[in-house]
Amino acid sequence: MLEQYRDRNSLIHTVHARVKIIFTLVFILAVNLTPAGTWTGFILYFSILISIIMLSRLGIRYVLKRSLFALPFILSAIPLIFWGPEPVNHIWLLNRVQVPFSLVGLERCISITLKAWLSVQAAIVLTGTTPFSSIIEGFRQIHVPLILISIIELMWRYLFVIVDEVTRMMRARTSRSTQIGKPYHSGGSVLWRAQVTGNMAGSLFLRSIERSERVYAAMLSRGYTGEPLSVSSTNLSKKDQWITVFSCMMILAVFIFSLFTGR
Amino acid sequence: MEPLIKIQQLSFSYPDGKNALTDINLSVYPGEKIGIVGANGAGKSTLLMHINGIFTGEGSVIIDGMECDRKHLEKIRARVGVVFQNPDDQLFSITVYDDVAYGPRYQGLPKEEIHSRVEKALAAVQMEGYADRNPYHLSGGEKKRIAIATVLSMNPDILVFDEPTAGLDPRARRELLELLGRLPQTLLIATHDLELVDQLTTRMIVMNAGKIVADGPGKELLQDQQLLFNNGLI
Amino acid sequence: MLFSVVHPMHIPDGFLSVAVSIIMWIISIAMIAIALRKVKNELGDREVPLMGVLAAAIFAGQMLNFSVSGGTSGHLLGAAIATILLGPWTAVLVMTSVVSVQALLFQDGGVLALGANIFNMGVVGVFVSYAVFQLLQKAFGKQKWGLFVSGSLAAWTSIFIASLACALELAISGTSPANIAVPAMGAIHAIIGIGEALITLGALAFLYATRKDLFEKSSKKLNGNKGILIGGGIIAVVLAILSPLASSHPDGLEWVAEQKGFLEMARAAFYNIMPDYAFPGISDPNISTIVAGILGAVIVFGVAFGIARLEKHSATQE
Repeated sequence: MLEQYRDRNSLIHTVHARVKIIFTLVFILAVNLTPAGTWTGFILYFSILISIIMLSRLGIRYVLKRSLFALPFILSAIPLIFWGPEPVNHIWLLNRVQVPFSLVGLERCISITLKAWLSVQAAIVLTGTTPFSSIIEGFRQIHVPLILISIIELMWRYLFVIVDEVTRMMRARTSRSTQIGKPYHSGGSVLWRAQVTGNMAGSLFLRSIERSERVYAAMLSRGYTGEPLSVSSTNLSKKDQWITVFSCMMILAVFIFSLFTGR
Repeated sequence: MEPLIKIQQLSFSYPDGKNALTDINLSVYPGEKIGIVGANGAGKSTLLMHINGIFTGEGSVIIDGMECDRKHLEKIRARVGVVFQNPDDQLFSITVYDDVAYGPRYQGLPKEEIHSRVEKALAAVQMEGYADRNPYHLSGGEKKRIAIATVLSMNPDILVFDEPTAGLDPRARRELLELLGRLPQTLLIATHDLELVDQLTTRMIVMNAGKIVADGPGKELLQDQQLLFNNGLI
Repeated sequence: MLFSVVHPMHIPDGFLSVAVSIIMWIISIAMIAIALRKVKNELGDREVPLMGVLAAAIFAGQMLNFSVSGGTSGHLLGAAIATILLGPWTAVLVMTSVVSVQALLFQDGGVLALGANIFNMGVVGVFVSYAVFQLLQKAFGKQKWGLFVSGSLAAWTSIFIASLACALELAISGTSPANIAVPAMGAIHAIIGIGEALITLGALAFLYATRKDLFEKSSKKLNGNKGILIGGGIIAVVLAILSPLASSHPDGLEWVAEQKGFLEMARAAFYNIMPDYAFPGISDPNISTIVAGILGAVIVFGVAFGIARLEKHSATQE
């Protein structure tokens, strides 16, 4: 359930991880740099993205569904519609209430939503088509510090184990959280429930600290010296280099086009 | 006599699409002691998780006349005590007392009642002197007993055990078997421990790949070497 | 289950201006670099498995919740407990890993916005926790209740101050007017912070009762980080003072949002280089939108057609 990678046989899956990371970064950067209200740009970014999603065989529905997950944050941009930049007009709702309304604010709010939506989809395509180990390998190649990489690798290794642990703990709590009906009022106080949850968190952290001691012992016994294991990295092939250049040029072209043609 | 647990045409698959249970039919009568055996991944634990509504699949699960749905869930859970495989998942309080008191406290019982429930539950598992101890520091066998006490304190009619003897040393295991033998409730025990099934249970259910493949008196089924072999039990 | 938790502090992409995102990235990278050096020099390789496993535990621990009422629930972010257990620099790295994995693998928070999210939860969260915890510990002495009170107040303050940082970033980016973002974020997190404080308190109580030695070990790592003590204190005070100021003068913050800067200049320059007649009518927004729509449809159709051809081809080959 946690794993984002979807194993498919597609062109996008075979592209080198580094290319995809660079492309995703360029895409997100370009989308975010595109000024508000540049609908032409957003349309073109979206069509490129849809094309890539189709090529990746992740399933448009899957990507759309996952992308909705970032949207609740839009609440923070909604006030722009009412109290956005000047000119703020006042419009009558049902001839009774007067509501402030900023057209520029509305435009910005919609643009923010579109940018968020496009960016999150690009990130979903990256993680959906690239196994975690390849993403990590890509980070290694763009010189993310090795300690950080080791931490993230270990974190990933134990994440599923520990998420399972938490799931079991919550299941065990649920199965003891019961009611016997009147006259007794079940649930206890909020403070008590919070305390129990805190105790569970404490127990989880303690078990994890003790787990890390065992992990360390096991690593030592396999010859760990403190340096992360270096993995030989593959270089970009000619094809990958071409894909990088071509795809980034395409994004750049859309970006420039959108700068011209916006409002 | 009405069955205490009535499961009809229960099927369940995990969100990732893996089929875990297929067309399970099972009736359990009050006081029965049932051993559920099967290889790893046969669906034993998944089935147990349906008896108190942690999982809900297709088909019907009826506990003492109550359909296992949202409306009855918390009431059903009060009737069904689940003892999980790893006591560390189940014990989360700073003292044994608080852990055993969790269930009654959640139910909203008065203080004196909670106290007497805790004392009775600890006595039932012969851990009277342990109320103020920290569960985290107890031995595996002791933790298991406390875990049992945490569900006994809710006065359930049905007790469900997931691999109760896994990871216990021989003496702790023997003592646990004695304890299980004394429990008056209806018992469902998922286990690999055929000796336990032989000693404690009256009825044995064999599961394989999410289905019930045999259901009958343990004494008979345990003699069927071919059955045991086919289902990865020996 | 994991995804039902909406973290109101993980900013997705799109909500921060690029300028703000890049500045936050620079600050976060600088802090991570310092943390890496400190951890490497002072703590050594033993720390790596501890950091990795605890990062996983904090990620998973954020799933733990308790119901409050009406379907809402309290849960943990974990910066304070990480700081108290691991010391500030190690906690910066652990929180950075947690926030990064959430963003990069689960799209919980943006990629471009990751610098800001690391700053808010990994730097502000940890530094403020540290400052509050250390100061209160000194005031209370080393009693048990002193630890608990300091820990839970550190947890509350870290959430509250981090949310102010988040609100200011949104306001400066022009995403949310400061006079709305700051009080709204602040108020929500003043409440969420109570959940954080209570869970942290419960966790500390459990750990103290079960493995007291952990606190003796960690107090060594906690002592003597004057820089963070001062830094965390300043962050807390500045944000607490700055944000009410900002929300009373929301317009002063919109310097980036107005986008009168580089991008507008670049745009103007393009118009100058390419006079209107080079692309007849394309500067008319309606026509250009239609052109873009057609172009987009052609791209998508082309790819769909290509895929269909390829599939047919491979099908006949088989």
